[in-house]
Amino acid sequence: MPNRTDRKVFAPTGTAVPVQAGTLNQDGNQWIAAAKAGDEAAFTRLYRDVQPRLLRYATGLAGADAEEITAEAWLQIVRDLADFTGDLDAFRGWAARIVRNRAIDSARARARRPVEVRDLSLALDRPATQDTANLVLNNLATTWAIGLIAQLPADQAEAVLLRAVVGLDAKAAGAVLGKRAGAVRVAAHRGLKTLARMLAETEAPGPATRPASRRLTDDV
Amino acid sequence: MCNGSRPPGAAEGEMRSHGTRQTHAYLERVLDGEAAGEGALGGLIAAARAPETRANPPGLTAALAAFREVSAARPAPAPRSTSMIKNVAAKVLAAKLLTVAGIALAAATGGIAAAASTGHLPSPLPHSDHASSIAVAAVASSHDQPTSTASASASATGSSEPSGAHPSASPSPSLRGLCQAWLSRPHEHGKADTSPAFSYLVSTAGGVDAVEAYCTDLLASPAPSSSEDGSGPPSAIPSHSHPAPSHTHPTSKPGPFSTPSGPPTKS
Repeated sequence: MPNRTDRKVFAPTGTAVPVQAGTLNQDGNQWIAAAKAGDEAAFTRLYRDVQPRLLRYATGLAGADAEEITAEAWLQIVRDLADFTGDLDAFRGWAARIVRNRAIDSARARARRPVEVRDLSLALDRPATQDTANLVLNNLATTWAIGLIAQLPADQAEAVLLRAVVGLDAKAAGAVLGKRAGAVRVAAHRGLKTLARMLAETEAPGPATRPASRRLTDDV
Repeated sequence: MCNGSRPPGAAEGEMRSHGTRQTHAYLERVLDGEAAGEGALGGLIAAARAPETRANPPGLTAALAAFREVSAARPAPAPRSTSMIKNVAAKVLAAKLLTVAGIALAAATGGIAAAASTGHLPSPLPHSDHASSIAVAAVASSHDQPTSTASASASATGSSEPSGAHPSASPSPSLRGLCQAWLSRPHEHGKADTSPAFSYLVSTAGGVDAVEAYCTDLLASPAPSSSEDGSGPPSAIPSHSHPAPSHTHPTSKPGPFSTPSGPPTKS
């Protein structure tokens, strides 16, 4: 194949630094303990770590409603924090589950009809466009990525988001989804393969028609 | 470029030349964010994981206000492990008392001063009333946690008898905290207003124009000094602002996902 993949549509490659760091988890455990004791600074740190993940996850689930959904989720998180036990990873999973429930409640309220669990993909009318993601997320590269992931079938999108964005492992993501780890793995891999095809098709029309290969953002 | 241990495009080239034959290991690395420099897919996921660029992610103010309120309403947790936590809790509690008192005082004086000088409120809120019922339901419905001390019923925010009926909890889960957040940063109202949590406050106050007066009165009323006995509901709600019409219908029951530890549903 010709080597046209070096300059890609998604030049933000260079901007991407993994959200999570290794030492963060230890800090996170301390944040949780302190936040449970009422420490506002610790809660703020916790929020700064977790909220961007939740917001992106919720954007994939519910598009423009994401901010509202996460706001509701945090009210519940705050209320129930004292009863939470676990480390930062567990906290992320717990928070993601709350966000998911809120998203489902929101969709259910909008549909005014009961929604079966298996109908989640139907219930969540994910707008799945760059525009709706853009309403919520401020980083162009991230907006683009989440918008693309949101176009996957719901189970694949959720698996990818929980694994890659929220930062859960397959088992924890499965706990959020009510699935086994193996099922999450399959869905996530399927999603990635679909994304790879979508990316390839995006590039297919020809390298000259894509001036967007410049860097979209230049943050750290 | 990032931490690409392999030349960019290598993995993708392999991937492309073999159609969809991405290896299991490669996909797992992508999901773990360890393939940022490897091809299109790695770049996509890396972008999805890119750090938040905003210093304060949206909703922090409202979440912090709610956190403050819940913490104030809850007696300090019994420190069962270290004395450090105890110290932290004590400090936080002391700081909180000072903060609450200070803000209440500042809000009272500042609110009066602002009202006197300008005569009207700054920066009205364009919309966001629609989210109030959901927000209220989210606060009021106490699924999963039957013993939550802070989950005051939403009805407490409404018809508050000025003098009696000592409620068992502070006026509402987060009204006081929301008010503090609202009043403490008037210059950011345009931004803060967009948070759904504030819409709860707005609807309770009876409109965006009534929030400042409502909050001033609420905070001027005897604060539930640090905790336990909520020494009184907001005594003086401005007569021109009616509390939001009882939007207390709980929209949500505990979802089917509230006990995820159950057996996976087979489809």
